[in-house]
Amino acid sequence: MATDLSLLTPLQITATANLLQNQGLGVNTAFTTAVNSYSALPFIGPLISTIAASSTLTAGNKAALYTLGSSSCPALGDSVPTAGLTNFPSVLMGNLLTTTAATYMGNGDLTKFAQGFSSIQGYSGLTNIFVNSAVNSQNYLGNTFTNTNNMVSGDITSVNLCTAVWAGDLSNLGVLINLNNLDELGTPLALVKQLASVGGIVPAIALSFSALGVSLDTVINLNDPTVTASDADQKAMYTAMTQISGDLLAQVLRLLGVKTANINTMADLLNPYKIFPNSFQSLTVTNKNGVSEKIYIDASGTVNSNLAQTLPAYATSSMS
Amino acid sequence: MTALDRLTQIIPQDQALANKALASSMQGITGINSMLLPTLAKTVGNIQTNFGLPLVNAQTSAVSPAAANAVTSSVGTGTGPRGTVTIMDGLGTAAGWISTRAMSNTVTLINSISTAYLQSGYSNMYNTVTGAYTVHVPVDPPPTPPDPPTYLGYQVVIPGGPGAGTYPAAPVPTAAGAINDAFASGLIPAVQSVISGFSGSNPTQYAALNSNWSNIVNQLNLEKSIQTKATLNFANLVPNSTQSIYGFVLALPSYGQDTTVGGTAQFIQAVANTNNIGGQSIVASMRQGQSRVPGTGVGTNSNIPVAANPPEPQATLSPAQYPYPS
Repeated sequence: MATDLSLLTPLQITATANLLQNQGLGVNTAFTTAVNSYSALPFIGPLISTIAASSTLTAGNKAALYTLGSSSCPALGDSVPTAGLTNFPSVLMGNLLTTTAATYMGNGDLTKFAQGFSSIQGYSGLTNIFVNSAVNSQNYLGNTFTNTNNMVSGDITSVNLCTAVWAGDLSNLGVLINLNNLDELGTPLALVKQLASVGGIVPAIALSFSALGVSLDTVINLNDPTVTASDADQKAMYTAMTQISGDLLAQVLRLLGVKTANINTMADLLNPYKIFPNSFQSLTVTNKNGVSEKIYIDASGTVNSNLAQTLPAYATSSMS
Repeated sequence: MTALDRLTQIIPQDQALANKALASSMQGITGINSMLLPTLAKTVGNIQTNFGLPLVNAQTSAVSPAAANAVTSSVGTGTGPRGTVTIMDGLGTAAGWISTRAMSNTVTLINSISTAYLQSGYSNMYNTVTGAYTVHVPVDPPPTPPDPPTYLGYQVVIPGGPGAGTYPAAPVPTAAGAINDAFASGLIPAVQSVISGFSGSNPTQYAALNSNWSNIVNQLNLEKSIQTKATLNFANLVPNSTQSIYGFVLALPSYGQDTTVGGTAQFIQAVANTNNIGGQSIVASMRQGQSRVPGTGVGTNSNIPVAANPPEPQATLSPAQYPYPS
């Protein structure tokens, strides 16, 4: 099958040509030299010759020849140390090293080497993923770990453990909340800006704001994404919102895509109890001590007043 | 930011508190700043929690130390950092890992001590096993000819050096019996004694030799263990498996990128026979892999096109399109 993939370099082709002839790889030459040097020591020759001629010896005597130095000084008996006798019985160390290395390299068949190498390489790679991950896991998330639900949910469950009902409430809110402006969540200005971003401020709202005392500068700039408002202006906006209902409210809800039931005034859109009617009871926040606290303490929407002391300072105080 | 102290001046106090709590909580959601509310709604709806899994929920850290230790202690048995397994851990002997240095040290150490007496012990063994020291013991006094010679049996007489003596004390019917007695009663214990005696005469070399050989056998045992875990049995490998060469060659550039101590590149370089073009090409292929810096447009790959040129002839297959009505 023809393919446009380009996988091999000229050097790899040359390597292949040699490997297919069982050339290019072999037992490390320095290793071979070192083992041969040992085997050429004067006392090793007679030992090897003795073993080679040992057909008349009993099994016990023959076995003893392989372990003459195992428990004392193996190097002086070409013996495998005691620690290796289980895996490598009845073999002289020099011979063991030579045959082991040759076996690894395929004994003249480099395809066997390639198979063995691939096996070890694969095992090593896979194992190390687990080893490194297990070690790293002890620092993973550092001191930000709260619980396994939060860990697997990207901390969504730290806001609401009942994800299905919360998702339903969120879905009904359309684009009411700008998630990039959560610092201002609950402010009338944030709501006005969000409304402006999706359809503009209808004149009736501006008129309502003006009537309730919002400064003229603010009112005429309501469609400006950078509009600012004093706290006094925002309080006036909120008061005006409490009076926006009926068709005007319906228009606002339509623009924002809000389908939540029982939104009676525009101000309700700033009340979590109203905008999360099915999930408010399971809304939670992790306080400054790392403890999860309920935002509402009962079914009637009573806010947990303890939060005023336990929320992070940046959330509670403008001076922080 | 409009903090709680200001927000309570704008909207009812309880709503302000709830909003600040909610905002604080939602800001902990990963990536929420770049998300639209409908996306968040969909994401929340898709989230699968650990409901009904009390043991998972009871965890007080991402992974318990016990679980992490269980993994590292059972599979982190290599010599790499944190117990990671290196290629040398599995196949190092072929590359001379550990053993080259240990054997070189061994030769140096042994050459620094006198082993002549030990050598004479091994020579005694050889002379004994080959029958050079075997004696066919005649009766005393011997029969007078023409009566045939009569023998009491066989003994081994070792004239000197380790194990010197006559074995066994009384002749036995077979030469093999005498030889085996000489080994069991004389030579083997004697040579063992000579070897262990070096601990007193050459304690420094004795300890160093043992240290080097301990390193060798530990490496061999480790390789055996890693191969077992990798279910690698050299006796079961398929001979002449050309496909394995293809896989090896294709991976050479990536092998070259593992330049860790005891890692892939170090191993292959150690077993590459750079006296020929094959071995040099293998090393060069790995180096070319190391040159591949992601994100650069430098043409270090020099890959050969795979598409057949000229194109391969195409087969005539059954029609797969409807004919136009005639």
